[in-house]
Parts: sequence; structure tokens; C-alpha cells
Amino acid sequence: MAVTAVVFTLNSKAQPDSLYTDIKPWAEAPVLHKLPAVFQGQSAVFLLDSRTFRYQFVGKNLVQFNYQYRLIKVEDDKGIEMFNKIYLPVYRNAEIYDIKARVITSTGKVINVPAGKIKDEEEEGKLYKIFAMEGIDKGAEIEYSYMIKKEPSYFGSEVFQSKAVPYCQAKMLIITPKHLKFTAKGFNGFTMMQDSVINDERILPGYSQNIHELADEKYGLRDPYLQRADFKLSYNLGTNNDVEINTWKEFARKAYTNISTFSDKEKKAIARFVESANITANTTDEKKIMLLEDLMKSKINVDEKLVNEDVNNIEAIIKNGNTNNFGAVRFFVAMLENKNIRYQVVFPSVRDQVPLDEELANWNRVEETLIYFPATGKLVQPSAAVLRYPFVEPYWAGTRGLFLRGTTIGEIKTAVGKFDDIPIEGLDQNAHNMEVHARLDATGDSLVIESKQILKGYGAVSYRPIWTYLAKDKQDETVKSIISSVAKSENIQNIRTENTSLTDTWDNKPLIISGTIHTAELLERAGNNLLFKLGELIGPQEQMYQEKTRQLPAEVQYAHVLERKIFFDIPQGYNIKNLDDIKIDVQNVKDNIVTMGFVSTYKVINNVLEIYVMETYRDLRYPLNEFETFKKVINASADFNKIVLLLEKKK
Amino acid sequence: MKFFYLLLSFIMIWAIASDVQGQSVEEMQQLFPGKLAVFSNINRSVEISFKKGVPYAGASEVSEMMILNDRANGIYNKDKVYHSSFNELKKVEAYTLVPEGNNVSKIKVTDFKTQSAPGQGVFYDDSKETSFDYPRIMKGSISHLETEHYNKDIRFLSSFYFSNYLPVHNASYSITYPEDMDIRYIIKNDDKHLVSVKESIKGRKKKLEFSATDIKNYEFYGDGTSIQYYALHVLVYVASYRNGSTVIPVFSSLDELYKWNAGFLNNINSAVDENLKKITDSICTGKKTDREKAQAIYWWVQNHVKYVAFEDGLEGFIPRQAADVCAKRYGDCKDMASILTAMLKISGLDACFTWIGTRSIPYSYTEVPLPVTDNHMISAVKIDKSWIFLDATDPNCIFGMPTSGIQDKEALISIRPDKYELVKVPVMPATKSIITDSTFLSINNNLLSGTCSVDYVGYCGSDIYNNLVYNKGDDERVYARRHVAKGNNKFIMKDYAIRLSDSTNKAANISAGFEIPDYIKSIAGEIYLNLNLEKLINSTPVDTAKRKIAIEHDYLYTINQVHVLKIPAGYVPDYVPKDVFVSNEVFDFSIVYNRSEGNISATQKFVIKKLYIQPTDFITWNNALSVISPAYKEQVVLKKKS
Repeated sequence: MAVTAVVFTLNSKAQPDSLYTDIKPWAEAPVLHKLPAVFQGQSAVFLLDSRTFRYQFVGKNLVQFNYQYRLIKVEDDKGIEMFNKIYLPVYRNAEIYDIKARVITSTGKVINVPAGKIKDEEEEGKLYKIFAMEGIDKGAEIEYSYMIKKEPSYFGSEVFQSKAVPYCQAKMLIITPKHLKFTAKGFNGFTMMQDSVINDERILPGYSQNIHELADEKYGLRDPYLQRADFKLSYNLGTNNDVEINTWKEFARKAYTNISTFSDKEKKAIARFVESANITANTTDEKKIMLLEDLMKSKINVDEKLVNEDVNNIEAIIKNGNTNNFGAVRFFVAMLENKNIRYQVVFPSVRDQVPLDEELANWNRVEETLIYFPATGKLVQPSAAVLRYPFVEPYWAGTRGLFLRGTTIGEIKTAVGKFDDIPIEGLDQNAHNMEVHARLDATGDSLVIESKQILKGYGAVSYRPIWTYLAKDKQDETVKSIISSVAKSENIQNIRTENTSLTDTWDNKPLIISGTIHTAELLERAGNNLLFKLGELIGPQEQMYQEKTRQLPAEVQYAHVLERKIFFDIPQGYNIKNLDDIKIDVQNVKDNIVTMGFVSTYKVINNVLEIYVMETYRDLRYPLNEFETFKKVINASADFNKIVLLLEKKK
Repeated sequence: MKFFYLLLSFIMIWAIASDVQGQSVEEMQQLFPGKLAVFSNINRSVEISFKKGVPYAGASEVSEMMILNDRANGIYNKDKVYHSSFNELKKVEAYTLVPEGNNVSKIKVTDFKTQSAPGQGVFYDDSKETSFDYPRIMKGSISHLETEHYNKDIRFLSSFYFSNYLPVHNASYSITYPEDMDIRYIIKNDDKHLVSVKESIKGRKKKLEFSATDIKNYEFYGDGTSIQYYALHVLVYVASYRNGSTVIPVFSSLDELYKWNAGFLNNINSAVDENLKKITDSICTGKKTDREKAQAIYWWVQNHVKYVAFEDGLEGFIPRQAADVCAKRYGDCKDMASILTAMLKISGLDACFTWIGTRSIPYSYTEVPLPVTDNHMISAVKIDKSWIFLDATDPNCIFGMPTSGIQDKEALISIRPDKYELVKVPVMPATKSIITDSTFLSINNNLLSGTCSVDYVGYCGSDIYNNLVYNKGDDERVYARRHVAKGNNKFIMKDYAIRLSDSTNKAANISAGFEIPDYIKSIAGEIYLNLNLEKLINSTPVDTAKRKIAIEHDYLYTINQVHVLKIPAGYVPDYVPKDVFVSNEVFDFSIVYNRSEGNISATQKFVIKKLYIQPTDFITWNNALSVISPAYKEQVVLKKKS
């Protein structure tokens, strides 16, 4: 065995100064480290992840140099598989150099990756340096570092938490000439220190330690909870001491100009384009919005991964019929401007992504765009081909967002940016309802089920593309499989679908999928008696039994109800012996309002069993201390799914 | 090995400008009702010429897709062309023809982007993809692509696929070649005789033309075979050519393919590496028989060399030196074959490099003596006069069993540079891979609880060993639960244990205590329960009208499952379902109920007997289900003693 070093202690209280020092941890003669006890049983651990961002003048130009360093201990085959292939992302127009990579085997032998084995790869439009680590065995350490030289970026966000690998130590350092002052903020446990000027350089360190892994969880949105640090250049003390630069307000002005400034040619082109939108003098503004959106989305393909480069110019978009997300926003805005419709551009804090921080204006975090209409309080998402007013990606709504309110100062069009709540279509708009009537057929071995699924709002949004984008045979296949979720069958008749158009969202017409199902699936035999698997009619339900220890609060995509009415003709000559199994009542009530719940009741009228099931998710978010109740509600529907009625033959 | 990119070529839209009469959108809609788009033409023409006495091939292609519905916009806009150093892209041009009133306007594609093509399981190779977007995809548009590829080595002619993911109206392939060249072809999956072949001579050139019309699109199934098993395609290859007075064989027979393959082994492991010898000797210390030695070496390589594939140009064909693989501790299949073969030889065994096609490739070497027939390399060792196939890419494959993906395939064993043997890899019988589940149940206060002990051997055991590598800590518990859960999804696993009792034979056992709330019905002095807590066969019949593609199993296996219920005090069995037996050429199935002192048990047995369940077997399968499905619905009834 090689000499084992004690894992570096990086305790800010004990050694605060060390955080301010730009140390390259790469040792000439590396030694193995002992795995700290808290990480016993892990497949791999980042012993140290150190990232330094140095902004430095080279001649007259400010240049950014990034130093990236990782030291990983691998303990088993899974750990080896995770780290024997390394991908280093390379920014466009950046130079990557001084790549060093080596393995310190469990016996202390050092094996360097030869430079010739480092390959270039471009996948999904991203450039990488890739290489394989040589000679790894269990207990080995993998160490690599590299430099990147690039044009300076004044915004940054660094995540120090992974799905499967914990971090022992994480360090970040921003070094700038002393007149350039960055502000930074740590999140979810990552600590940013005060900056300090040392030898003409301004040093801004951050750190964290013992960061556990954070995996995905059902109904959990992981990204907002990751340990990370965001930073941005906030002051140029050389020119203007007290004026903050790179603010959200500044961003709002710039973004608004980019989105809503059009050349005369573009304006003419859009004027011709909107002519086919069936807009008359009597058309209301709201209807205009609907017609314009539908026209654009049925003519223009929106694809963020287009190879084509000329995709933001309105004329090119019309000519090619293709654009990307930004082009779609510009195009839609051009149409609104043409028709003088009031709108606001909104940049949402997407709920399943790292949010925009209202204090620390990291412009690079802005990715998605919505259009908000103050007159109706509703939204349009120009980039989504399958969505229509007022529905947008649910994770983009019901959250905070930066609203750009357009205004004119003299001749100049500009915008004021302010964070506000983005509305989302609420509980009364979204439903996954069903009405089912089941009876025994003449043979007594099978059921005939009249099934009707009634979907409203977001409940319908995910299904409607079937009728727009699938070929006829695939449409039929898919509709059959949707009906089969009520009861598995090869024999489904009288299939009917209503309100299948994407634009049926305009007045939120319910999407109705109905059919007559003949099936033997839900009946089981027990001597002369029958068992009717009533619960399976509501389809397979998500269940949360025996999960791992919960880390994240629960969050649903959108508030909704699932209202189910089930009728069953009790067959002649049979009694049902366990009707009370149907009764389930799990609810969470706050201020007399049910925030979530699952309630099922029944009555028997004229030998027809009538069951009423109401499942409710009124809120979007359920904090960790309500998680057990949330789980109970989810599981209540899974429990209902297991209800089996015993039909006893009358003697 | 290297061949992944060759296989990719069928996804490419190859074609050549055709002079076939243009069909109108309406006519196409009638021919292919309900489709959003069709390939109106896919044509390729290949010409073989000589440069300094060496033949090369140039391929020109044109493909045209006719858009039949505006809804195709957003679906068929993107396209890409694949290429590599063996199949260089010389030209790519694309445009959309857009109907405008009575006219047609042509909008050219201006931007193309070339990047690495993601290879299946390959870490790095030189295959590339050039992508682009078609403008103005709308009803009546025709997206048009023209490409030219260059094969500097005529061994790498790509197969031509007449069928595609959309229907194809016209597909044609032609190859023009010097009259003294011997060109051969094999047409695959043409049961309906759609392909017509024409031969002609013009001057000193011969021409072979293949064409087909109105070819249905193929379907994909997750549990189906690869599309090469059913897509209509032709393999055209050069058997030999003449250079002056000498005939130069290319792939005239398997002998020639072997000669070419064997050329890649020149200078590989020609000297014994001292370090490798030291390791081999230490592994083999105390191992008495050849079998024990081979087993120990195989195990060592499986456990110490990780799969990482670099396949840059010829790296895709040439194994690396065993000593290098040993130092790096990683490699692709060829590298693992190299270190295995070298170590086996050091220990005095008769080991050979061996090429093989995995089951994703339907060809046999004798029928198709071409590089596309194999995509994999292993080591074969002869012990007691029989071959054992060693594939270390699966770290938990059992010594003596081939990896499941090469069963029933021909192994091309390199005995010497000038001698090979062609040996069929055996299919491991269902008696080798067994899951045996013994579950004991009891009922207390209307709650079904019990213990189960499940043994896994053969491929079933290897699967457990492989999966446990990735399931640690809490994931291991979740994994164990997934394996033992039965009855319904309220299954609560109490305690559990995983025993990897025999790492040589990959025997594994998962045992657990459990409760299953809401599984039994207890009403008015009677208890109802279905003793088939797991249904070993999915009861959904195969849609024979639709599915024409075989179902593929990784391996043959047997499941024995017994559920023994302790009859609760005060109860007696009131109804016990009848036994069921099904036996056909595809599988055996039975449920047998037994009553003994205080107990009642149901024993399910399922034996899958065919690796491929062919469409002709589906009727048998469905007929069997019509017996099994009702049997699965039968409940046991217990009654209070009166």
C-alpha cells in the first residue's frame, strides 16, 4: 500500500485564508487519500472539486482563464464505470489547454493519460475533449485538471451537486483585477465569502463540503435544490463606483429591443403573413391573439436545434417555414405589434430548472420566453407547436418571472423589467374525469363497459397532438390504447372522439374519448362466485410505497381534479358482499379548503351501484412536512385501484 | 468492432434522380392512405472504376420525400447523412420543391452541420453525421437530397434498403462495373418478390439494376428483431476482379473474408509480454486442469478490464496488443479477445481470436461472406476437444456459456493465419437458466404475509450479478423489492437478503419477508385469493393482423414458482381451481394445485423454448393464452369450518 494522506480539511473557520489563495492542487508526487467515514459504501466520491475563474488583462483585452480540477476516489466497479471515461466540455471560441489526467492506482502507482489519447468529439452541437482513464482499480483515485482561455463572460453559475456522487470538498474562486467587482451568491448550502483585495487582485471565494448526492424523485423538482453558486460582474470601480451594472433592468431593456425591433422589410412581410388570419374589424383582441398564434404555429416549424442559421429574420422565417425558439418569439411579437395588441414579454423561472434569482441577475439563466396579455391575464408560448392560448408549458407558469412592460420614452421604445407571479390555469380548468358504466354480458363471463374519458385543460393538452401529428393508423392505435387503460381489451367498439383540435383550448372544450369495451379481464372466478376488479377501471395509478427517504417537497405540474363516476349493474342472482371496501377518505384540509384529497363513496339505486370518486390536487406545491399526506393521497388512488368486489351467487 | 457505421447506412436516405413519372399528391394519398409523407423515390447508383490498378466505388444517391399532409411540418424537416473515413462524403445537396399555385419553387438548403455520429456503446470513432433542415415542409412539397459517397476500398459497399420508415414508391439501385469484375448480390426479405433485377452490358461495362415499387414501411418493436431481419434490402459485393491477367479475389468466398480478417492480426501479440506472463502465472497457480486455468483467466479479464471502445479508422478492426490492454485495464471487444487469447496461450492452452456477428445481424458467413456479417470479436479456447467461447465484454458471463447475444451464431475461429474453423455457437437450453421461487404464505387478521426465496442460475444469475454492480445501498433494496414483489403494488418488503453464493456459476438468491395488504378478500367467513401471485405470461394476445415481426428473447429460461399457503386455523378449502397444462413448440406452461396437511399450494412452471417467436408461432401463442388467461383468474376459496 502507498502512503495514505489525510483528506485535506477545508474548514473555513480553521483556515479561512487558504480559501483566498489560488492553489493548484496538482501534486508532483501524488499520494492516496483515506476515504472519510461518512462516505463509506459510496461507489465514488469527489474528494475535491475546485474551479477557479480568473479575469485578467492580456494587453488591453480582458481574458477569462478557467482552471478546473477534480479528484475522485472510486471504490467499486460502478465507480470505475462512472469515471473511466471523461468528457470535458469545450466552449465555442474557447481554447482548452494544459489537460492533465492520471490515475493513482490502489497501490499508489501513477498512470498518466497520454496526450495522443485525448480526442475531439462533437455531439448534439457541443464540443468535447474525451479520453479514457488507464489502469483504474478499486480504491484508485482519478485526477484531472485543465485550463480554458476564452472571451470573458460576466455571468456564471456553477453547480456542485450530482445525482449519484457526493462531494467531500468543493471550492470556487473568482479572481479579477481589483477594479472589477463581482457579486456572488451561494444556494442550498454553498457558502460565498466576502471578496478581498490582495496584491491588486480582487478575490472572491466560495466553498462547501460533504455535499450529499441528490437523485430525482417522483413529484419532486430537483434542480432548484442543488448546491450552487451564481455570480456576475456588478461594478466597474474604475469608471463608476456606485452604479451597479448587469442588472435585471438593463437586461429587460436589451432583451426588449432585440425581440421587438423590426426592419421595414420585416414589418411588410409580417403584414402580408397576417392577412390570412381571418381577422375582421369585429374581431376582439383576445380572438386576434388566438388566430395569430394558430396561424403561426400551423405554418412555421419551431425547432431549437435547427441547423439553419438564418432563423430569426422574419422574411427568412416565412420563406423557409422554420425557426428556433427566439425566432418564434420575435415572429409572434411582430404579429402582435402589427395588430396593436398589448403584450408583455415574460422570462419565467422554469419550475423544474434552476430558478432566476431576483437579487443576483444572472442573465445566462434566462432561457425560455412567454408572452403575457395584461388585458386577459393569459399567456401564449410561441415556441410550443402543440400548445394554444391560454395554455403554456405548465412548469413555465405558476412561478415567478421577469415581466417586460413596454413603454415609450420620447421616440424610443423601451421596457421596464420587474419580477412578478406568472399565472397558471387553475383547479377549475384542469380535469381528468371519467364516466363508466359496466354490466355483465349475456355469457356472464365478460363485462360490457361504456367508457367515457373527459379531459379538460391541461388534462387534454397532452393528448390533442395525437390528432394533429399522427398518421391515421397510429391515431387509431393510440386512441384504442387510451380506452384500454380503463379495461384491457382487443374488442373495443363505438369509438368516438370529440373536441380533438388543438384550438379547442380556446374555450376549454372537453376532449372526450369514448368507446364500448368488451372484456373478461376484470372478472375472476371463485367457485360459483365472481370477483369484479372494480378498482382497475380507474386505470393503473402511481403509487409510492416503500420509497427511498424523501429529500424534496412534492410539486404537481398543475392543479387538477379527477372526478370519476362509475355505474355497475348488479347482475341478477348476485349479491355484493363488500361494498364498504369502496369507501376511502383521505384529505388534507387547510382553512376549510381541501388542498389535496381522495374520496370515494357509493350508493345503490334500483340495483345499480353508483360510485363517485373525487381526487383533488388544489395546490402546486406541498412542502416536505406535508409529504406524508401527499403520499397517502397518491396511495389512496392506488388503493382504490385494488378494490375487488365479491359477487356472491344467491343460494 | 468497426461495423456499426456500415449498419447505419440503411437509415440514410440514399437515392438517385429517377426518371420515373411523377405521381401527384392525390395519387400518393390513395396508394398510401393516412400517411403524412412517403418516399417517392430512393435511388442509388454505384460505379466501380480503377485508379492505378485499384478499384474504388463512387455512389450517387437521390432521395425524394413527398409531403402528403401539412401536419408533416415539424416531423420530417430534419435529415442527416452518415459518413466516415471508409465511406467519404463527397457531395451533399438538398432543397425543397414547394408548390406555389401552378408553379413550383425551389428553396435550397444552405446550412449543413457535420459532427460525430453517436455510436452504440462506442466511446470514440470516426463516423460522422451531416445534418440539415428542409425548408417549407407542407402538403405537396418534395424534399430532395443528393449525395455522393466515395469508397476507396470496395470491400465497404453499403447495403441498399428498398424499405424504409415511411412507404417507398420507387426504390432502385444500380451498379456499373468493368465487365471482367465478378459482382454478386443477395436479396434479403423479399418473400413477395418485389425486387426485379436487370443485367445489361454497355461497351466494356456491365450494369446490374434492382428496383421495387410501392414498398410498405417497416415497423419497429421493442421486443422485436433488428430491422435487417425483415427490411427488404440487397447486399451487393465484389467477389473478384482482374488486374491484367491476374484474378484478384475480394470476397469470392469465406476463405477470402477470412484472409482479409486474419490480416488484421499480423504482429498482434507476437512476443510474450513479461508482465502479462507474471500475471497469468500467478492466476494459474494451483490450477490443475486446462479448464480451471481457462476459467481463472477469463474471470480475471472480466474483472479487471473494463469495456471502453476507441474505433478510429482501422482501430475498428485491429486488436490492440495484450500487454497494452493489461496496462490500461480497458478495451473494446477485440482488445479483450487479445488479452484473453494471449493469456490463455501463455498458460499453454489452445486459444484463438474469433470473429462473430451478434444476434442483431441475421447473416451467416457462408451465405454472406462479407464484413457486414460480423461486428464482434471474442476468444475461443479448445479444451477436451470442444470449443469454449469467451466473451469478456460481459463481466458476469459464466465460463462455459457464450454471452447470450452470440448464441446460435457462427464463430469464425482463427486457427492460423491460413486456417480457420467455422463453428456454430450453441444455444443454451432452458434448463441452464432457471429462476426458482419458493414462497410460503400465511394469513393473519386478513393480511397475507410470507417469505420468499428466489434462486437465479445461468443467464438469470448473470443478470443479477450485472445489475447489482449499479444498484448499491438504498438502490439495492429497491432492486431487491422489484425482483420479489408480487400480488399487487402494495407489496411491503420487510427484511431482505441477497446472497451471491457462487460467483463462478453466478448463482444468486434473493430472499425476503413481506406483507401484501389488500390482496386477499375475506368476507362472511370465506377467504378468496389467487394463488398465482405473479403471472409468468403476459395475457395480452399478439395482434396477428398487425404484427409481422418475430419476438426475440435474450435466452431460453425456466421459471419454477411455488406458492404454499398455510391454511388458517378454522378454515378448510372450499374451492380449488383445476390444474392447467400447456405444451407447444414455443413454450411449456403449467399450474398445479396441491393440497396437503394444513397447506394448499400452486406451482407455476414456464419454459421458453425458442429464442425467436416467429409470426407463424403467434397463433400457437394466442391459442395457449386462451387457456392460460382464464386459469389465471381462478381464485382459491377457503371456508370457515362449520
